[in-house]
Amino acid sequence: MASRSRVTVGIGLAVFVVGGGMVAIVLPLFRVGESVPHAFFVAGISPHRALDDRYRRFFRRTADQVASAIAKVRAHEGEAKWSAELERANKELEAFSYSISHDLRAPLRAIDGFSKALLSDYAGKFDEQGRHYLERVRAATQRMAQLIDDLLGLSQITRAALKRQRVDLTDIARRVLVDLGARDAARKVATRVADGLVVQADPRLLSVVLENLLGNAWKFTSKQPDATIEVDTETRGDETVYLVRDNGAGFSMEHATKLFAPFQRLHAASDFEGTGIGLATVNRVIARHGGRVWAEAKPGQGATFLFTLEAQT
Amino acid sequence: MSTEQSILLVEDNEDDAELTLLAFKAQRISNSVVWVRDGVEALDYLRDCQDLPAVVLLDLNLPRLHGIEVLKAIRADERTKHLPVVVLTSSDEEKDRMAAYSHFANSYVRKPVDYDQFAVAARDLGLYWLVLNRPPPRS
Repeated sequence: MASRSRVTVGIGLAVFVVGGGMVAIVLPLFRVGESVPHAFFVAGISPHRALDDRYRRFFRRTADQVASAIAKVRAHEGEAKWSAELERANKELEAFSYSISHDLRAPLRAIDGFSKALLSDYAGKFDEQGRHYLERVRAATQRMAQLIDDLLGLSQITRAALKRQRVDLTDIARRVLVDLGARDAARKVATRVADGLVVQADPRLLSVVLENLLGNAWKFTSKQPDATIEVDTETRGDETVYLVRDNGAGFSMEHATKLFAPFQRLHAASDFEGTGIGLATVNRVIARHGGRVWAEAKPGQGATFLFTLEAQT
Repeated sequence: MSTEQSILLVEDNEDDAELTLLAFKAQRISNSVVWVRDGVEALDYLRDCQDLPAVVLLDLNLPRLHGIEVLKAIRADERTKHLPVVVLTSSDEEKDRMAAYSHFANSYVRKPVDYDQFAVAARDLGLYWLVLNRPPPRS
């Protein structure tokens, strides 16, 4: 901002105003790249002194000082305005999310509730096909409710303040895997989490990343009898990379760029359920840490998700 | 353990109100439900009623007077300051939960979109506040 509002002096356009024996010099002040002066420097000059180079230089220097003083004030105003606008935009986003959470859910509850009322109170009036349609209405309602919740989660992650501190990724990953195992006790999954993965990051947001990546690994290995999930670190070039690797369904790399956009899915909902917001959330968190996230996979041969947490130097 | 005590439902959305009544009916909760549509009506009712309800189910986004303002007014009035108030809302925003508990809501329940879960929530609320919970003594 500050560099664009720098002010320069148009000394070439000096204008002299003469009246009643008085002489003034008028110098227009321009911003770089603008043709209309945004201020004028006016000074009375001595009629008894020749306007030689030295005198001109004196005016030029004085006008320059005035110009840079104006530029400073303008830059400061610009920054203040910018941060006020940012704050206003954030407030609006907050109000918008709030409205989505409250106002979009209410009609869904009505659709679901009254469909259920039809099913239970008027069951005799519907044949099997009719009941099936009502069940479809209810299932779609649930799906939309999930989408709304996931979108809200994504927007909260965008708005939340980033607090970097010491985070034990090993500990978080093991905890997430224990939770996944507890919810799905019938499955046998071999898990391996490298020891001592400690990073400087936002603990809450990093938990969200691992919940999503490990949740995905868990989901996409569900059809694999010898499922394995690993959390590890590698050094690539001079970067420390963290990774979650599974031997699940995988995907073709030609779709890999789409993965991290909201609502992009590479699998049919009937094969693997999901709203397609998880990796968008991961991407948002990693980007906020200045890192990158990407995937390496082959169809049928598992997927590896890798991320860094520092900006590349 | 009075079963005659009523429930005050403060809800501006007619669908939600009807679904709540439907859920109570389905769960055989026979206490009378007084339904008011905004915050001002709620406070009018509480001021004029003979017997206080067993519990107030309070939505937050209400016309005329916001749910939190209703809660504040209930807590500020000597007659109603101990009245059990359950915030029952679509919102799961942290600031709403914070505001509700800061003004001494007894409970905060997010209305599930899934009607089956909603019905379960209605049953649990009814059982808890009408049967299990012991109200403050009448002064």
